[in-house]
Amino acid sequence: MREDLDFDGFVRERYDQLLRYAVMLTGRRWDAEEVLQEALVRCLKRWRKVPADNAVAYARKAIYHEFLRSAKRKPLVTLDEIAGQLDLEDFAGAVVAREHVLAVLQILPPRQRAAVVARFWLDLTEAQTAVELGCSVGTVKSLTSRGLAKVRETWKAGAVEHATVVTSPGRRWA
Amino acid sequence: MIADEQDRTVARLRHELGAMDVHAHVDQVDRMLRRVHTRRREQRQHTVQIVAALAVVLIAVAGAFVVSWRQAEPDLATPAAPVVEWPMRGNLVGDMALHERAEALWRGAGENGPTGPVRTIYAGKRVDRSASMVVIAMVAPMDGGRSRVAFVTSAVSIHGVADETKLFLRAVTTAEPGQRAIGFIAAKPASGDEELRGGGAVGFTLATPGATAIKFRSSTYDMEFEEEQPIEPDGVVWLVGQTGMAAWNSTVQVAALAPIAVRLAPALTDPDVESVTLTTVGQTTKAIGDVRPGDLIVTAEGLVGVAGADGTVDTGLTGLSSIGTVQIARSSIPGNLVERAGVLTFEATGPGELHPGNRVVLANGDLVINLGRLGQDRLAVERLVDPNTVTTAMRVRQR
Repeated sequence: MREDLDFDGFVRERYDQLLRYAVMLTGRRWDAEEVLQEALVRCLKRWRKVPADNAVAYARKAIYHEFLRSAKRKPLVTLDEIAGQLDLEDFAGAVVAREHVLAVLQILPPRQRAAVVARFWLDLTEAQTAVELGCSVGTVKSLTSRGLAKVRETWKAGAVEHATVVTSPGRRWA
Repeated sequence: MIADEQDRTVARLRHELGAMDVHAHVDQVDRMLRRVHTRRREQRQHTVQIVAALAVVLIAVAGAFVVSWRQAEPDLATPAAPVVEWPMRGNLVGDMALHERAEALWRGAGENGPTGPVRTIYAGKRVDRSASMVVIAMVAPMDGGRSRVAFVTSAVSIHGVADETKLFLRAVTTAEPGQRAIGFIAAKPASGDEELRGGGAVGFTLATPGATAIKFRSSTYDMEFEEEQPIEPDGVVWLVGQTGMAAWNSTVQVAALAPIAVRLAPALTDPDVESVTLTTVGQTTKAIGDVRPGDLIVTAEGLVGVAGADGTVDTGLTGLSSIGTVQIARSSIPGNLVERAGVLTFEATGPGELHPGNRVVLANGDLVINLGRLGQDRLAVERLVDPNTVTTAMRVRQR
């Protein structure tokens, strides 16, 4: 009973943070909520064994693994496809959809995407990222480097094309 | 990549990722928590079922050596004994004072009370982390082989305390001749009940002696739910389900030669539900039974229509706004059902994203009834119940 109450309190306190992480990985709030739900079910299952001072990292790991599972079922999308699914009203200082950071992240393979998010949003070191993703430091370096290169190429191409994608006004994230 | 280009990319990434903000309303967090707890409960039940199934297989294999000469499964072939003849079962059967208190409560229940003799067929206590409760099931014979059935219970506790000294009449119903199970579902907490963690409904099913499993089915708001549950040695299956599970959208089946869905009684704090028969002549559908104008006529899958004068059922779905809110089940996006060029169509009147397969429901407080499902174009609505094919249904009436 207590652990259930603690679990609920933890989720209420950290929900936005965990959801944001899931959105960065999946690119869409709808998918993020699905991933987050399954991850939280896994957390609840082992909640008694989760160290209190490391619960957020534990939940993030669960989200990451659930994201990898869900990504296996979904093909990689093109930049235009993902850009068309974004609603830019939700994000401060949004740029055109094809250059939006969420759209750009979606063209990276799942592990590259997770490495980039861990390094440049979570601000983890390479060693911490390796623990987070369950791989070696060398793999983190490689994933991050290749991910960064793709992001850079995409933004560079976008700057040349000045492409603008108009998103559907009916789509809302919240 | 040149170093300063890489630095610029990293700086932009950090800036844009840091600027991205996602917020959830407190209601969305609550809904997520409810779904998480429900999924976890389902996983636990599933695990228990697998263990039980393995045990059943082991017992069956062992038993096969002993009874391999027998040709038929007795449970499948034997007609159910009348409910009034079922043996007394449960871990509190010896507590005669408890039976007397329960009977006195039922007899004092006015129009819900029995006439004639009363017999207890179950008295037991369930103590569990998710929901604890004492249940006393009693029957009183009626005309035509039917039985009046009452469920007197304690309040629901989520702290493992089922207090048999504080009882109240939870539900009453009528069992038909040959009915193989009786039970109730409380869709929402009664006064004194503790709300389940994450919300949800509680229920109780008592099966005919000798039955080994029931199939519980519910079309509650965000999932099709059908699962086989083993019956405990005392004949009971305790039901702890997700929010929305209720007497008007759930049934149980007990294995038999011809499985027949059994309706569960609603708690007296839930809308009143009774069985009705439907007849359709030409374009007119009539409900026969205890029906009043304004009653909702439903099956466990969804709405058939609304009763009018003389039991005539208006089976149209486009004029329901006076009865409740038409909305998408999970996201609660409000809207209207309208006919567009002969096609039943959902027109959203509030913000939100529609998805193919979303369930359209009629909501009136705790009463949520399925209407249809959005098609691939997210507009056309495929009706869940064809009124022309239904012959037995339920009438639902707000108390």
